[in-house]
Amino acid sequence: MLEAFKELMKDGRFKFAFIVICVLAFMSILSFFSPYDPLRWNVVPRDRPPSWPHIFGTTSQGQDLFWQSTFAIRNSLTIALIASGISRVIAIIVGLVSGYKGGTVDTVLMSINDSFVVMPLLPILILIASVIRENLNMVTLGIILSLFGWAWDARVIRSQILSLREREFTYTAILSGTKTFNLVVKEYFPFIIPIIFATLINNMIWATGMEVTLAILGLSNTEIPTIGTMIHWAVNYQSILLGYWWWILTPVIISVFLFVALYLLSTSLSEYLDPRTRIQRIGKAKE
Amino acid sequence: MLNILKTENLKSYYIFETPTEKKEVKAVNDVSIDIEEDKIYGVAGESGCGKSTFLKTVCGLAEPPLRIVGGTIYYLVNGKYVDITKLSQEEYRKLRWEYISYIPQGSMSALNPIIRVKESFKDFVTAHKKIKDEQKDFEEPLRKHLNALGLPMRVLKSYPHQLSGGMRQRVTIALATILNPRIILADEPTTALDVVAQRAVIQLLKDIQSLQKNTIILVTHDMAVHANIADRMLIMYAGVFVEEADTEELFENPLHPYTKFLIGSLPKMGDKSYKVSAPGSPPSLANLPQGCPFHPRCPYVMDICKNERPALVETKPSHKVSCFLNSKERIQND
Amino acid sequence: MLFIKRYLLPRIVQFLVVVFVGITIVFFVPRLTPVDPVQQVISQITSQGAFMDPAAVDALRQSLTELYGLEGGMFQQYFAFWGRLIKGDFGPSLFQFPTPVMDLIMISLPWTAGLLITTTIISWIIGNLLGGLAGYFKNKAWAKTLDNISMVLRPIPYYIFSLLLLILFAYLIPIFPSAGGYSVGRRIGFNWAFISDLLIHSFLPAMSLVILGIAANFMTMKLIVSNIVAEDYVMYAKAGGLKESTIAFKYVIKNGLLPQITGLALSLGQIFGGALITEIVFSYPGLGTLLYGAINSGDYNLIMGVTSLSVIGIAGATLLVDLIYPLFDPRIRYR
Repeated sequence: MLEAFKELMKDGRFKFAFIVICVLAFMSILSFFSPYDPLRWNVVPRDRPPSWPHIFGTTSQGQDLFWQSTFAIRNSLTIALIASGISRVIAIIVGLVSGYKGGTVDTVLMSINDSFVVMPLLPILILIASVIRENLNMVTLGIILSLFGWAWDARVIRSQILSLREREFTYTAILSGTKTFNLVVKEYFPFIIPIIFATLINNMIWATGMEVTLAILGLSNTEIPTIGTMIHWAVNYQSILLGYWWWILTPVIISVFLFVALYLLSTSLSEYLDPRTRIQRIGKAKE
Repeated sequence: MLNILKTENLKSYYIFETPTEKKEVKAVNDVSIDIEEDKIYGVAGESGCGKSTFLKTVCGLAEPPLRIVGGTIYYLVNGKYVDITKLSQEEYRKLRWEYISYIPQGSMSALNPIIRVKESFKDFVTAHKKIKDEQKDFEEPLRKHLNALGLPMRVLKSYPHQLSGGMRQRVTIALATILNPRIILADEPTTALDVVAQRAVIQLLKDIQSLQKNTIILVTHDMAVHANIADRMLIMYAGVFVEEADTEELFENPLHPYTKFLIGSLPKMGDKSYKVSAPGSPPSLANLPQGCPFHPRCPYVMDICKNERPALVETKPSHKVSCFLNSKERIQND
Repeated sequence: MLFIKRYLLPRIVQFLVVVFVGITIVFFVPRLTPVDPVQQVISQITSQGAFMDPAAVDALRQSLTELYGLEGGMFQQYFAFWGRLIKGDFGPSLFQFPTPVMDLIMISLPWTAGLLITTTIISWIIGNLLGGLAGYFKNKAWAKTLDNISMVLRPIPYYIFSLLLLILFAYLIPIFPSAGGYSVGRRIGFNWAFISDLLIHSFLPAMSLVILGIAANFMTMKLIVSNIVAEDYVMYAKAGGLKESTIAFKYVIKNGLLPQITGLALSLGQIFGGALITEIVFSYPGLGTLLYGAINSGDYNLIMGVTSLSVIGIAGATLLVDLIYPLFDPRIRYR
């Protein structure tokens, strides 16, 4: 594991992404030490540009932007992790069953799977959110997102299972009487775990993007500070027109860093894991 | 007889570099050879001895991680020997296909899958010749060429996936010879084909050679094919040529111990003795032994073999071998 | 004939499955809330001041109950729902009562369709071209620069990028208008004045979609090309001394476009979502802005209508792109 990490750190993208994620994680931990309650308004002077002690400035609601951001990062990441985590489970189950069983089960499952891939998810999520708007706390939002984010990755897992199924060791295991469940869990899992990890990050990007979008549209519980709700309030209070650039730019810049970092993490990881690009990487002749 | 291809001390390695280690696979390890015109050469050797790499290097397809590390390659262009390793990309591009063409291993996917065969031909021809009158400059010669090779006209209208494996191979050969190149390099053209298709391919190659009077260098591990079609043979082992002779001479009087094993392992009509193959297995090209690469498996190994590499020298007229055994014999005979 | 059976039929079936699954989800959503949605809606309308006599309220209650599928047995409701869908009846809009939802959608639809179709086609062509060339000439400086730029742009969500463009080019450097599809008060007509006004207003939203679209296509195409370059027929073309331009375009990029057609079909849902969001940021008079208004005023009927039509529309568009594919891949066209 450690060598893998060292090897990855040589990739400039991974290094950058890793540092950014560490910084963001650090900020979310800082939220536990915040001197201000994120749910209360008017705890500090309003509409102050960045200066000490409010290093990111303050909002029109009288909240310190820096400490608000720490909570926002923490909550957005939590929602994304819940959503991605649960959808991993669904994707693994669907991918495994479909890939291993094959036949009609596979056809039916994949048909439903593809529906979720093709469907325009945004309108549907908006529809759902508009109905249960007030009850949309972090866990609920995470669960709902997970119910829609599993489809693409289920296919990826399924194709990996398909190729594993044809390998020699599968036949050996079956012929020697290994029960299906044992076979799947013990033999296949080591191959699947790297895929799960790579797709987890991609899914987090998607989930965070959805959370941000829904929040900006006012469809989630806007009391809870997340990156999305911060933007929502900034837009709502006309921060652009009024020239309070720090209020809108703080969550925007944080989110850009978060998304770019997650994306670079995901691409560098999947390139590292893909055997073809590995050969290219170590075979590059130095000019 | 003119030499249309010469290599001198050619070295071409696969180089793998990670920050922690450097691995060099010495696929072509100091090869000096002269190839005459109007002959069919057969290159034989085990899998992984460097035969394909040699072909790729010689026709300029060495792409990273494969690099030419040293030596020279000469083509005879307009009466002069040109070192192609010194040519620019564009100069070399012009030489390709007109001077030297290549039939790759597994021609199954050598053709662009989304254009028709006729258009593939057109691409290869127009890259080197200007076509003013399509009918006269392109279609007529193409038709004649296919006729001469016994290929039906319908292949021109087809897409590659519509042709059978054997047909595709023959089309690839027709494509490789459309510009009458001086040298054709064929890498395992008969592998992965059924016997009937194999026969057709071999016959095709023979026909082309007698028609166009060019040189074919044919790589295959199938000694029967060599016996059938090759005029002169080269035996390759661990990145070097260990023996070179006319085919009949090689089969009757193999000099190198490895060649002896190779020939000895072939079944002969009426011969019911046990066949013996060389003990051990070929060395890893990344980890070659010192001295003669064959010495760990050689039943006649001497001390000198462990330390020095024998050169490829002519010990009988037109018969070269790279083995201290033969040099010693020669010295003794002198 | 065989082609039709092997290729066409499964895809039409898949289209029906997508529509079926999507609409079923839409059907079940009103049941997610414990509160009676019909009552909520009625109190909302009456509180907005529209006066209705008791008979009309009852008729509305009846219609809404039917529309939300809350009356009768589950199956009965379900079929009734489908019946309405086929007739295009989503009931009246709640915040623009009593205009039918369908009418409102029909006004906004052309704007979204126009924006979506042009930007998708442009970004697909340009993105794949650039990605293909960058993938082929991957060691050149310009290729690496483009790669880095795309890497940063790709993960940025539509909202944020549109917002940045808005702030930059409509506020800080006010070149473009900040809202609307055309200037207020202008008359619609086929004259240059109107069309140029239209173009100026749609420039920023289009730019937003095109740039993000190019970045996405660039990255996938580059990956595809890097695999194609290792294929036998590319190596063979090089051995044949074909010109670089021929190899790059006819052998590499042309082959790379095929999986990108499939990729386009799969990402239509996401692109559509992106278009909606971009419209909202720029107050562009398409389905996005319509939807936003519906969210803010709690117009559930409108949201349901837009969602249902989106499902059918995107599934249909996906089917269309799938059907175009054989035109480009002879391996599917001829057996």
